[in-house]
Amino acid sequence: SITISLPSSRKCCSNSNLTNSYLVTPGDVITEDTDYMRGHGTYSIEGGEGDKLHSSVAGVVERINKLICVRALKTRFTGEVGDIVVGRVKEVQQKRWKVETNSRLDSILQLSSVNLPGGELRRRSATDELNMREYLNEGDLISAEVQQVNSDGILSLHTRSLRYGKLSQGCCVVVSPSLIKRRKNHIHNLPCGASIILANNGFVWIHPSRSECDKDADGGFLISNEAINYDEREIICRLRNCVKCLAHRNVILFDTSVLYAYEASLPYKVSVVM
Amino acid sequence: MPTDARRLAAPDSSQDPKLFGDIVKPQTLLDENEMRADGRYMTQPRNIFLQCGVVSQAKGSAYCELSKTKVICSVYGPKDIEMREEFQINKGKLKCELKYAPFSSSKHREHIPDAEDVENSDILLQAISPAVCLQRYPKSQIEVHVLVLEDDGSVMPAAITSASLALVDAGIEMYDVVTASSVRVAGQEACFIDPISSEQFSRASLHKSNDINQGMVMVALLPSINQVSSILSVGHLESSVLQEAITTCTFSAQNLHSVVRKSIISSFKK
Amino acid sequence: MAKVILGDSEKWFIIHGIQDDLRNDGRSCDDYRHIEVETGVISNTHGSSRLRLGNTEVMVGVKVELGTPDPHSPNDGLIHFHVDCSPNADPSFQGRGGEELSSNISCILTRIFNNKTAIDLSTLGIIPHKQCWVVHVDVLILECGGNLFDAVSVAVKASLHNTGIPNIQVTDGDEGTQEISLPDDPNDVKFINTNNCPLLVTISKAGSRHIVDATADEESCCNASLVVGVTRRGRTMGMRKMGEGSLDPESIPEMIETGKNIGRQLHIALDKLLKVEQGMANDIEKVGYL
Repeated sequence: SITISLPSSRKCCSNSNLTNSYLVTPGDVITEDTDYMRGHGTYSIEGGEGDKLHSSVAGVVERINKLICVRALKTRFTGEVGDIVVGRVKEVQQKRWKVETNSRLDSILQLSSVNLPGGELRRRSATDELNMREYLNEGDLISAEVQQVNSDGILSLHTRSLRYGKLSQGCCVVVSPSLIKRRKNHIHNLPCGASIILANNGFVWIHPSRSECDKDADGGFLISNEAINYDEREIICRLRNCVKCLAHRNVILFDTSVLYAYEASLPYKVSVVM
Repeated sequence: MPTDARRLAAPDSSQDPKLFGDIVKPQTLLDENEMRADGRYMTQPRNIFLQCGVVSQAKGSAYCELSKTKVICSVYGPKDIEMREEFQINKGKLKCELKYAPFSSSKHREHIPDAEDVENSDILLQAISPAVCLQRYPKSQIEVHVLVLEDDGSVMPAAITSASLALVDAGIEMYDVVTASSVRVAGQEACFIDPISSEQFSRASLHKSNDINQGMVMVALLPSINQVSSILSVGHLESSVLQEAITTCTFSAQNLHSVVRKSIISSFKK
Repeated sequence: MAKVILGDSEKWFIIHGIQDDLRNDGRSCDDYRHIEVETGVISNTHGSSRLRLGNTEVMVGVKVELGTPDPHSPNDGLIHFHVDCSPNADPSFQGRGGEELSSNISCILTRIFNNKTAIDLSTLGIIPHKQCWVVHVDVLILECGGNLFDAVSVAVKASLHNTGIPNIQVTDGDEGTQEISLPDDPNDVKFINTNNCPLLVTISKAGSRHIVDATADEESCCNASLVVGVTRRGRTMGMRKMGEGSLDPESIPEMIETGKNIGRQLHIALDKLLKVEQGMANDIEKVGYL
């Protein structure tokens, strides 16, 4: 059945657990003390009255010793070496792929930093270069690790581990990168029967748990298009809706928060979770 | 030809003078002998004439005539895509244009395509694109231009059929030819196959009381692989009547298949 | 159109899900997302509405003006649809980018309103051959989250329901001329009868099944869909196949039947809401664009 309602009947809940005092808007004076150092998200007017430190983004003030930064609540992903990212291949270029990773600039995956089918120590030949599109095509999703942050902010990725590579069936939810909690492990096999990658760049990938052993044979490039059974699919859909809800309410995402949400949603039908 | 817009001040809009005369429109589509205005039975389509290779400079071309409805179609390509944004790496691009000659209809048509022309071009594109093996033409585009020389009803089916014929003539790889047919629905069980202009549905010719089950339906078919590539209806129809009309259209389009085949073969024998 | 790019395996996941009757957001094949509608949101119009369906956001404003009738039907008024895709929804709509999508939507709206019953245009006539009301329905697309056709048609019906046309007086003047006088009270209006106004239902074909109310992701997996105009009584008013794929002749009757059922439910739900909103009159606070 179809439901139509008036927008005024929508329940309004506000997040009141954030106190306003820590939040600044662009132009706000953070401090007039000249001892502090200028970090990201701040500026000072040269030669103005005093050396006041202003904020240039809306966000939370962070102080590390003498360094003052303002971290924006809504931000693009700024990668660090070792971060796990999930990205979408945007373009196939000469010896490399351009990958959209919710970062300021598109990230780059070099042909030399992927594991090609046929073992890790295989030499890359000219045919590999021609067949790049067969490995990864436009639109494909990959999981990777940040190998290097270039001086211009472009991220270089690598997938030289069996944990990373092309992603098979599943669904992707994009949230703000600031909602992902930095942890030691971002790839989780949840006890409810599905796996989740909470990538640092805000891409959340939910997929059925599969045995990983068949992956090394083909480097993870061959993908089965077999249908996933109904129960597994239901779990994935429920997780997807849970992640969306949590992100909507600005709850930090990590394995426990997702699992709690999942368990709390169990009494409801998947479609009403949203 | 450049025109002087300032000196030739034609009125913005002009009307067909016939509209202001007192012409009595026939109230029924059938006369007392169960015959239509042009002497056909209700389920009898008009004679169709198809010919390939009428435009010598095009890669492929076709001409379709349904008594007074005359349509000419030419195909150019496959060739390079000019615009970078339309570039597709694994698939060709099909471009369609359906244009009425300014003198084709009872009213004068403007040279600039209006909203109706844009819609018709889009319908044509969606009707023929399932038939073309576009993945065989990566990075290239195929242009289809249809020009309506004279409009006496059922232009869309004629355009679709001739476009597919022209594509065949151009040697483009295709899954199947496309044949199309339209019917005018007038009442519960009256499907007039292949209507002429005076039989076509228009809101102005209706009375409020007889509005239900008045309309037009068109179906385009890939006859050999039995797939419907386009379906179009207008007017207030009960769903059972609509489905009946779709079946009639499909059947009539299926009948066209042999004619299309024959004309393709005869064009090669020449 | 704002295209979502998906990898092949994601598409397979979605298509298999449709086959299993469990879509990515947990809906079954003929489940509709929740809709929010509000009317009377723009003060400068004669009727307006705002609709939100999932991520799709549509705003409709109706303006009535005086004009000359079409000589083909001199006693009737006119109705024009115009759709504008705002670059707010997608940067690709900038310039002429949204033209294709907007002409598609306005053409299908014109198609389903092209009969005598949808809107009784004879009530919009004033002086035959000389004066009539011209109803301009302007649709603004603010966000595309799939299923635009349905969303637009619901918003159009809601705004037409909300449209008040000034009650004007025609008096005989000198030498057979006629004069029109507007009422002094701006609230002296008659409302357009939307009882037979059709709604669009898009039925998208994916694999061997069909779905209604596809999201943008799902739309990119379906290559053929049927857009049907359905009245409250379940009759069809215009239909068109969209997309580059073809349909199996056997599946068409099923799709039309689905469209009919969904269309009826949509009408019932919308009529109920419009009644509730009318009953509440001025008691409720308009949320407006939010």
